[in-house]
Amino acid sequence: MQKTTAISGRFEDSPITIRGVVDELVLIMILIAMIILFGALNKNFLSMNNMLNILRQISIYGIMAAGMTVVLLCGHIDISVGSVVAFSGVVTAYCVQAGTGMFTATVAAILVAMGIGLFNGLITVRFALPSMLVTLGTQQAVRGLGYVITNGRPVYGMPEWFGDLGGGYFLGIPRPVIILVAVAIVSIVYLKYTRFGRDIYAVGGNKEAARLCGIHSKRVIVSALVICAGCAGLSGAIWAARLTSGQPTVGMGYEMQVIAAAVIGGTSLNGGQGNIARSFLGALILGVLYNGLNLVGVSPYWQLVATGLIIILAIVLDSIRSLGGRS
Amino acid sequence: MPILTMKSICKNFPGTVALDAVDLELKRGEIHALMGQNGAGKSTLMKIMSGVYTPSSGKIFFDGKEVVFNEPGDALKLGISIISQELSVCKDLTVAENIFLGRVPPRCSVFVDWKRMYAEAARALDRIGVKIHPKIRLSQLSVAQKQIIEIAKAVSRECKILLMDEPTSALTLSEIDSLFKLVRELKEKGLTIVYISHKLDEVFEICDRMTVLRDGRNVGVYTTSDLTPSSLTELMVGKNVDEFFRRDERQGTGPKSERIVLEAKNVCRKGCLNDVSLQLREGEVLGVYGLMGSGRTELLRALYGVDRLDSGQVVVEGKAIRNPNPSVCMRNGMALIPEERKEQGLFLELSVQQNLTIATMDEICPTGVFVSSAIERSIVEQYIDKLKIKTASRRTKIKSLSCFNQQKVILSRWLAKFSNILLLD
Repeated sequence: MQKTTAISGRFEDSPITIRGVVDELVLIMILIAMIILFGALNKNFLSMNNMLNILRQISIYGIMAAGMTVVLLCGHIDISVGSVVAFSGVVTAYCVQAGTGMFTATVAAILVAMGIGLFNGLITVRFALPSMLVTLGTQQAVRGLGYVITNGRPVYGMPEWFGDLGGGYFLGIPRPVIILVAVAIVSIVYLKYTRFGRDIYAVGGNKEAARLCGIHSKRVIVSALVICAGCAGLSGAIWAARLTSGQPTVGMGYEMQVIAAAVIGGTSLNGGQGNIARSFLGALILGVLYNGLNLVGVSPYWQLVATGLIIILAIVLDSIRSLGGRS
Repeated sequence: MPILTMKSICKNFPGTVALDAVDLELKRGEIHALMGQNGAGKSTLMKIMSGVYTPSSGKIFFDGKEVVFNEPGDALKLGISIISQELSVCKDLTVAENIFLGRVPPRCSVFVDWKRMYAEAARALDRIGVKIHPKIRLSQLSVAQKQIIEIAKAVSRECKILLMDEPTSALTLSEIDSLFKLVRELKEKGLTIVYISHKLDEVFEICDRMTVLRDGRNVGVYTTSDLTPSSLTELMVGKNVDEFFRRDERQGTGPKSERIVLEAKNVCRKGCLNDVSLQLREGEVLGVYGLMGSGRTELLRALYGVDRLDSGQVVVEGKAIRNPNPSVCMRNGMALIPEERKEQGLFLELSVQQNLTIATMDEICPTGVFVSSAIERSIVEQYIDKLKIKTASRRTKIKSLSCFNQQKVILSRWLAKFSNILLLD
């Protein structure tokens, strides 16, 4: 007994806190290395304009990644978000066409998206199904619904100001970036400092134990799917504004980009592990990679190959790290 | 010459020392018990013996030659098989496939020789004298039968040392009898068996010698006939056992009052509970006794509202609880500490702190939304101190703690909630 205490005393706080910081440091270092590399290869890369451009590009994915991380933390997944982006974009466009302001249109888009999330959630928990399959269904259904209401054609004829949310600036910063930062702050705070955040980690960590501790797992899972869809709805509104039209075909494959961002950030697909800040870092790494490869002149085909390999590298690194901690 | 000798085996886990210079010697053809309280290091030692863990230091000799186990396969090759508490069978495969898992008889080097596999599986089952058809799927068998399949697997691998971790915990009395008969027969055939069990009567019935561990260290090796159950308990618990029990006696003065705090009235649940009633008085420790599968776990789960009741009533403090569920029961001061700590109790990836306060959210979120880290910290530190929980810090992940300390955290979880009815499974 004595010996155990003595030896555990040596470890004190250090392994845990250092490891926690190391995880983030690795991501930040990868990011810095990429920035230096692309900066050396192309002068324009480091310009203020391009930096803002990268941030604007990742804001769509970043906002969605915030929602996706919450779902992944619960041990679930939502692969319908790409379709939700398109559908909510169309909703935004129709609202604006009908004469509402941008704010109302965005709120409407988010609410519609949350409705889809609620549907995903209720079906998932009511029939104890894997959310992967339920959202595979809604992915198709919602995409189809978007085509049905638009007849497969983009919704054009928006007023001049419509582009502002996507392309405009506020105090010199692109508006989507400001929205992204706001979403980030809110998400980080509620995951870390609220009861709901704790419940999410608990449900994802051990569903049965969470239930015995009086946590309503089902409610938590439904909320997570609603939040995720809501984030996709917000992204959809921004996307529509950037395109100054409602396009029923956008967002194909976004779910995979977003999941990739979270996974690069170290979120576990088994639930219970990961955090929003790191998912944003993951999104940032992907964004810098795309933009850099573009500027350097790599063909889009090779860009895809590179992204795929980066994702594999990230999960391999993560696995090595966690194995190292165990043995 | 002993068949297996382990010399000064040490095993460190982050933050704890599980084994500290432990020695073990197995004679050929004996049944050797490994005894000790929870957290004494029995399971860790078994895992080292079977190559699941590699020791931090120490040496293992098999048949007089030094061996190093880097993975379970290394131990298997020498003829050391383990039957762990959680059986490792593939329930969707057949009996024969399970017996030949990982070494299917080949035909023309790529195809499976099914005929030979079934024939050899039948022979392996025959050798241990059981009648189970090799083509049955494991999911159709009882726990006892699954265990027998594992034994058949070990025997067909020409195993020399068989490690059994709590083999009887899921068996009925008659199944235990036939298991013992089988184990004795295996011993007659020259197998060496290492046996871990918490049930002292079993150990005295079947084992020849025993090695006792305490806090990851050797207490000694004894011949079974030299010990009595009480002297063994003393060795396992340590010197202050008398004091330990005396203190218990003084406190065990029966219920504080006649007030009934929990009552189950004719509780029924299809397939496991049939008209069960009980009354629990304030300050009383009520034992629910029965064999595995008799409904002990199910009764507690039903009282705590985990499983739905078909009929009957649960009354807490004179108040009938309608449609009990864990959340409602918890608010009424009940707590369930489940049987399977890892599967049902712990959040392995979360910190000690988060594990401890997960049920106390009402208390540490004064506003209902935000967690107050000051209140949380004071609760956690208070219980780490009070229950002497050995942890590097409150932010340490709970999976790096020993089983015993993990259990203390779970207990603290409910003490912090001021639960006044604890259901311990």
